[in-house]
Amino acid sequence: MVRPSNRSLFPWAFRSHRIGMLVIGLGFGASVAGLAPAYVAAAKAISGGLQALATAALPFARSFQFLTGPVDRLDTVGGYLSYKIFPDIALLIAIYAAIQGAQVLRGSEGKGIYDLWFAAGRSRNAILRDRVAGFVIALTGIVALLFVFTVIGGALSGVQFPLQALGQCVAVGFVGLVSFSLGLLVSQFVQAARTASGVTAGYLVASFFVANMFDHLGALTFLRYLSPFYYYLSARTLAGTSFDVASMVTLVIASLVAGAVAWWLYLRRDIGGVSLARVHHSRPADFTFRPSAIWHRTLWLNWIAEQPIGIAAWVFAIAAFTATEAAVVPAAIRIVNDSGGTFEKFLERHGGLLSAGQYLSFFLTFTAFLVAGFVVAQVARWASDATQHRNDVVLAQSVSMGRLLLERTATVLVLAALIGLAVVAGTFVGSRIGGYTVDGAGLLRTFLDVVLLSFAIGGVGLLAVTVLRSAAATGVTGGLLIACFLLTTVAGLLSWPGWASRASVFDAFGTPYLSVPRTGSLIYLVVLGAGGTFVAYLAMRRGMRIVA
Amino acid sequence: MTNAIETDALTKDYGQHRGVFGLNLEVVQGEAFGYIGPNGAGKTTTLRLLMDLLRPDSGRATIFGMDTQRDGVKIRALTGYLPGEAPEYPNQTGERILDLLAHLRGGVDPKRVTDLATRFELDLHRKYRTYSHGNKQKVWLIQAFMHNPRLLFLDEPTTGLDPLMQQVFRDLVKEAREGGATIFLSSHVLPEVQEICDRIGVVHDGMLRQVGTMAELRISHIRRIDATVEQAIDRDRFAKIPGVADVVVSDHRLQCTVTGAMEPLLDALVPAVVVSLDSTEMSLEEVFLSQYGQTV
Repeated sequence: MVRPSNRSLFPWAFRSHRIGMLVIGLGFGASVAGLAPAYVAAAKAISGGLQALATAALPFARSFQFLTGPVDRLDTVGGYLSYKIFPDIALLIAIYAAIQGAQVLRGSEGKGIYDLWFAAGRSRNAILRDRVAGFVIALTGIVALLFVFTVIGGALSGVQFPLQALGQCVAVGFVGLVSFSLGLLVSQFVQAARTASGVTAGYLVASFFVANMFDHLGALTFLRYLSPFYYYLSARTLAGTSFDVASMVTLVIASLVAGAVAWWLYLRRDIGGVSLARVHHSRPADFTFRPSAIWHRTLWLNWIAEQPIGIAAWVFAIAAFTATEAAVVPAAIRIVNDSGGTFEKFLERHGGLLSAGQYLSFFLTFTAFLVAGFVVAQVARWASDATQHRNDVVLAQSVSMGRLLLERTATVLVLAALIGLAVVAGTFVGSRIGGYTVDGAGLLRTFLDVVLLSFAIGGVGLLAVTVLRSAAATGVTGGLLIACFLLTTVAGLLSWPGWASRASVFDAFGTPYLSVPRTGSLIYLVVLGAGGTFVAYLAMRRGMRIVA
Repeated sequence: MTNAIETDALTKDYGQHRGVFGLNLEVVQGEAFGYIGPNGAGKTTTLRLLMDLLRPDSGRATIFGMDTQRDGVKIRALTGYLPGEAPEYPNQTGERILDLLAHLRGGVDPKRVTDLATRFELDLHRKYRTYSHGNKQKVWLIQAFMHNPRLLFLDEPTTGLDPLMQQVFRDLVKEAREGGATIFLSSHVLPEVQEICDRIGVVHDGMLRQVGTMAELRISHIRRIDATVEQAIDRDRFAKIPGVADVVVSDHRLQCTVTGAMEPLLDALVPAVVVSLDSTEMSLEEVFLSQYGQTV
């Protein structure tokens, strides 16, 4: 008698996360290890060293509390890392974990993989257990890599803080764990993994801001308890806070509860179906074809019409983020003024940054990261059009390769314009909340800057999709953007000459609102966008598989 | 008369002997050409090269006298293409998918789409992800036929279709041929190829091994027989029956293949009291492997 195999699916489940684990662990780890000595080097360049730099930078850093949470001990490398990069790491690992949580069942169900596993004698429980174990091990790997590189970063900057690094990295891991469970839970209620990822990621981003700004929320202050990041902020051990065991236990319990509810729902729903499914009423089959929906007349309109919820979510998120940035400008200026003039003098020496317009312009540079994220999401869709053979049937309808590429570019430009409008609207609303006025020309400059940045990243993404022919194009485009971010950050920190960071699109983005990009940057962004599209076209004509 | 399809040493090399190598092929206008071979032989690659979805490493191809690379768009305006791998449009209805593709192509009569959907019994107003495998295939069949193309590239067209729908498909091909269309059909199903195609090309390891009519290639019906009888039977007696081959007898069970008429075999089986009899048509690949061995 043939007995069902008892072999665990765990190795397979882990393998599906190993690339992500290495990219995230090594990427964030290297960033931490690079920033730590860079900060010390920057401190050595001014008289008074770390203490003087911390005194000067503290008010400025605190004006960014909505992005970073509380800022402490900038006179230490650990405090700097805790403020400068760990909030981003916690948020991005949370989003990554949420996406994995949403994918872990729903993604494979959509592809029919579980049907085969069930047919092979695996139980629902076994599948969920092995897949969760695969992710937990991968998450542990990420935390371990982050910890090792943080310690290395400390050593490179002449400090030893292994226990503090361990505490903060573990806290990041717990945020990842609860985010994974949330993704898993949400995915029980929706059919598409992408929708579950988007909803969970949206919640996490909103809760990130709530945790950072809860003291400004008035009657809504209680919302902080619903944010995993609120508990994470209680364990910023690199910045000298204690490792709050109660907060960590809360995160673990939240993760277990969300995971248990997801598991309970999963055992009770159809495979491929959703919990709380709508009751369907049979109707006669309808064979009649009624054409003429206007958004199906061109590819670019159809691509936009295909993703109404996704686009709406991005537009809302970017508008809300920009409005928050704009709204806190007066508060940020107040913090600077309360610094007793030290910071003002520091800024004056570096060209000044004192008007609301200048502050707003500086804040808006952070919007560039969200815009970049949006374009990368589009690149992911193009890659999926290729791997799921949609391009084949489109080209079969007498569509030329050039048209396909041009319509992609048109999509980027139209969506970039939409995102640009969201930024403008967010800025306007935020300025009203903050009680100051913005000028129309500045908003127009901001709009153009956003469109140019999107066009540039879109061109690079198009080329990546054409050449790489797989979802790896998304990773490469994202990786290039992370490299750009690091280049801009490190170059600024170490006062490298201006040309050193010119290759970064974020550097080319310049100072939106105040001015359009420099001529060189303008040309650079246009060349990236148009050049990427053109080279992609040439690559297609040379005989690569049609995938763009 | 201009050939509908002509290739000259067409080559696409993926490495490790995968791809298509030195393909020389002619398909005349109005002809139905069957393109057969085992999995990985290069059938789909050939179709994608002819559709200009792939670019050859060397050689060239023309369709209706036009170069596939230079005039790809014009050629695709005249052709219908059924891809071997069904694209995924999970969140769109069948109608919305066809609406987009019809608009991209232009000149598609909505009545024609409705007619095709009715014949295939495809509810156009359901989400693509809710369609069964066969219903998904119908969407792509409809888009291939909806503009009455002059040339049809069909890659495994009846995959997932039930026998009734296979008949609908064959009727559509017949109508297309009556209208003068040329058919290029990649298939594993012998009756389908026999019924539809005038000539057949056999591809193996990326190379075209043989081209000819079914008769020229000595292809005939071969059926695999699996019978259980009450009385003991003599293997040698069955092995001597004309057309019977590959005879295996074990414990009141007979397995063999039959080429041509079944009657002599049935006459020999009846005295042994038949308990069950299962007869299945061998696939084209099995036929070729049986007739030509692994050298095909």
